[in-house]
Amino acid sequence: MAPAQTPSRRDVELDFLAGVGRAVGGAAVFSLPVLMTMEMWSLGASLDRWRLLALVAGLIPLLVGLSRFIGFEETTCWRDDIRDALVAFAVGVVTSAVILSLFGLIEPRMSFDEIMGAIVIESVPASLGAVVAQGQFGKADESDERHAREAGYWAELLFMAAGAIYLCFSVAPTEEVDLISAEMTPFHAIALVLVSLAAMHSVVYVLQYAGQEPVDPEGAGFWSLFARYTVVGYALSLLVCFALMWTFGRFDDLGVEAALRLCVTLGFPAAVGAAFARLIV
Amino acid sequence: MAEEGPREIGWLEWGVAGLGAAIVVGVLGVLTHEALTYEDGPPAIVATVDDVSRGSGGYVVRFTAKNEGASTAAEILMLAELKQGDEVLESAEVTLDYVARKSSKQAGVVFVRDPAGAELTIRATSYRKP
Repeated sequence: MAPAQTPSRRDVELDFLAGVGRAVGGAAVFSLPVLMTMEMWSLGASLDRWRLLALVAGLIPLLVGLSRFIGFEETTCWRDDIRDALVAFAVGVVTSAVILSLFGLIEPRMSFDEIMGAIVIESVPASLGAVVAQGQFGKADESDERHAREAGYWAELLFMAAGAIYLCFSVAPTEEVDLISAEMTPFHAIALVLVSLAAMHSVVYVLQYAGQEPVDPEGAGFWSLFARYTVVGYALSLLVCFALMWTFGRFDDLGVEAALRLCVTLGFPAAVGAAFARLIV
Repeated sequence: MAEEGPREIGWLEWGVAGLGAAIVVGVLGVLTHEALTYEDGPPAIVATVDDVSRGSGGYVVRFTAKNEGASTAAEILMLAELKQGDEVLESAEVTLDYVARKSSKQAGVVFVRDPAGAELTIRATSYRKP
């Protein structure tokens, strides 16, 4: 932004529209894989309405938190964050609705429940995309820098949760997760837990990706980092998987051990998503 | 962050770390228990009738097929028969995609006759290893 202290009203509105445009782009990038998955449309129609409500109820605080740290616009107070989260949600809903209509997947002859359900489910990755697009591809300025520096431990956890949700959201509704976990023996499952943990830690601290966390950010040793970030991140990923699978009604006929195996299976993409989210955001 | 020097780690942060460790250890514990008690046996599908309701297309029998065996079965063919003595009055089939071990699936069959007036049996006749 130019040094002008008080931009004209017209500039303010134009800036906002450009921001919305970027958010729409992000929403499309994040939601297209899910929009073109058959299980998702049918889920929208069949899902218990309370679970759908729980999905949205969980999504909004996540958007507020993400907006706090990466931002749809540079934000300074919680009221701004809530407003931005709602704008992102609106962008997500409208983008989903438009793309679903373009594909001919929602039509007037369908029941209201079916249309509504499909749009609400798709709005989850779409609004995540809307928030992230602005944070990553928007104009950087001083206030962004400041925010990035303020993003502490809790923000890292939030990013990990968002990354886990994003990567496993497109996989969770598919039948394949069930098939894979049904074929795994307990030994496979244990190995997968250990590999997930190792992958998370390596991605963030070892493999030297751009944006890698310094090995010793706070004078903390390996075990401290491992316990506070990697283990917590993996536990968070498992919780995300549990929440998503419960929402999608995938535990309904499963025994405890089968359900846990399902979480661990889905936990692998979730863990990788969580690790990369820490690098990207 | 680096220029601010070592950051003090609060008890809340360690608390979350402890919680995370508890979850991961718990998951590993359950899986290890499962691994120790794991045996490679055949699947055993047991069907129990949930309810019978009269619809416009006939009598709908809803049942739950539970796999009590040690391994997962796929493409399980469930055969439901209405018998009177040795005579089979009516039969219906349904295929279940898969039922994981110690898990169950719900399915249904539709009969023209009222199952109340005959002997109803539901059993698995074949399956495939997933």
